[in-house]
Amino acid sequence: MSKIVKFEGHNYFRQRLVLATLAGKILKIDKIRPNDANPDFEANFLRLLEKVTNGATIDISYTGTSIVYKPGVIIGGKVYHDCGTARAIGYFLEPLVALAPFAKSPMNITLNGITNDNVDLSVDTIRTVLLPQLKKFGLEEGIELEITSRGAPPNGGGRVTFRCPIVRSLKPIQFTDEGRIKRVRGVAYCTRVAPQFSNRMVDAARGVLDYVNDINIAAVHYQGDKSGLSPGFAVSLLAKTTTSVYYSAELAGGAGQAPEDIGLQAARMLLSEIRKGGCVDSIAQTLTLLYMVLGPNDVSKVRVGELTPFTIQYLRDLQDFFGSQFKITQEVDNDKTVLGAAPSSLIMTCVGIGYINTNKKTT
Amino acid sequence: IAKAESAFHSRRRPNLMRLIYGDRKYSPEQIYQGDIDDAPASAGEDEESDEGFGTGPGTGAEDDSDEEDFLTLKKEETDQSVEKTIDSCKVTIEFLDLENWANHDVKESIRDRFITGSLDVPGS
Repeated sequence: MSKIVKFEGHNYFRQRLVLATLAGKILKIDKIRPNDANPDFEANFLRLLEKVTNGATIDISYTGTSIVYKPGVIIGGKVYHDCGTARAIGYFLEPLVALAPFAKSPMNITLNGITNDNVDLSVDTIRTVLLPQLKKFGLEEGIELEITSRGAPPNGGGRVTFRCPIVRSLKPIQFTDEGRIKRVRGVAYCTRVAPQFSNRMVDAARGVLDYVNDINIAAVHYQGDKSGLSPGFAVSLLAKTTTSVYYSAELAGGAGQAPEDIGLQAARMLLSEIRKGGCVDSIAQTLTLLYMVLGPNDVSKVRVGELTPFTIQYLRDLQDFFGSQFKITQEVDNDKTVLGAAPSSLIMTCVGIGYINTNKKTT
Repeated sequence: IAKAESAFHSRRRPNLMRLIYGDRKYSPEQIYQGDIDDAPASAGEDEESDEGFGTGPGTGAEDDSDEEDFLTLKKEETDQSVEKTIDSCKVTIEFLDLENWANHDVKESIRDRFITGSLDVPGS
């Protein structure tokens, strides 16, 4: 495969930079918003990438419509970054989670910005859904996301700290048993609005999720310097099955919206996610598939409910950077041999490329 | 219950591998929505790859030197797809679909996914 991978357009910007970094390939992207001014958040993400790596070069053309990225070494360590307010912290944190295990030293990164909105993954969902996913690939204890303060749009002001251990190589996964949902967890928070907002979201969500008794949605009201710079409220929900599959949903409220509506819609979104089935939540698909590709020269297998458009493009990008293809088989379980499983889902199989984190010394 | 369940799961399409890895004629959104012509689309091919912002290697490289009015038309299309894809893995919320959960039968259709559901395995 060639050492240079080329793309056009501004979409899927972050994943291509992450994949180029991991694959050690030069990335060239042309025609980035040729007709518009470039928003600041993409440049901001490049600055973050420069902070966590060493030796990378980024050449941006005079017009700002094309870049050439030569990846360096992921160094990790203690980093502080201001994410701004154009995109939420999730936009920056999600790609960091993919890189962190392969750094030279454990990442300890503090990010400042918007913690919850309806565009990017919230820090709650990253903490409760994305990070537990890493453990399935053999990452030991020490993965942590501490939410120090909340920041709602438009002004943000939230702060989180992400810590992640490093590994030399990942383990393959065999994850095809969905199990059955045994409990529902969640967090409803509010800042700079009446404290009852959290409880009202919780009550509305509980009313929909009455399938199981084991429901615990925490209602938190942030005060003082923990409440960021803007009023806001949001809820994130999580359903856990007997085989440790997580399904999640989240929704943030804005001015003029009733907390009951937010709680109700978020709960229904969780039901929609549950109905899709599979062993991986929609938002964790890309990370899971990436780690399957990076795993040892062994077969990894996972069941997914349905591929999102984002994941479909990710599969193509994985092929362009690593040459890896997934075998996708549709499984129609007419006999319902797996208790409670969705009647049809996809089995994704691939052989890992045997990625080794050469930065980590063997002991 | 069976009706609600099958209504949801009938949206599946075969040949996902070919659609994703093949000639990459369709954008991820088109594959997801099942917006796919089974007949080999040769005339509309260029248009489709532009509209869906399929930015994989080898898509829409040469057709830039067209006339001016073509360019402006294309920009409009692009703007729309920019709004659609915002580089986030969050799934777009379909509020109409969410309304269905108010229906008791729809809600019951996923009962067996919970430990409180029936323990009977149909067909065994």
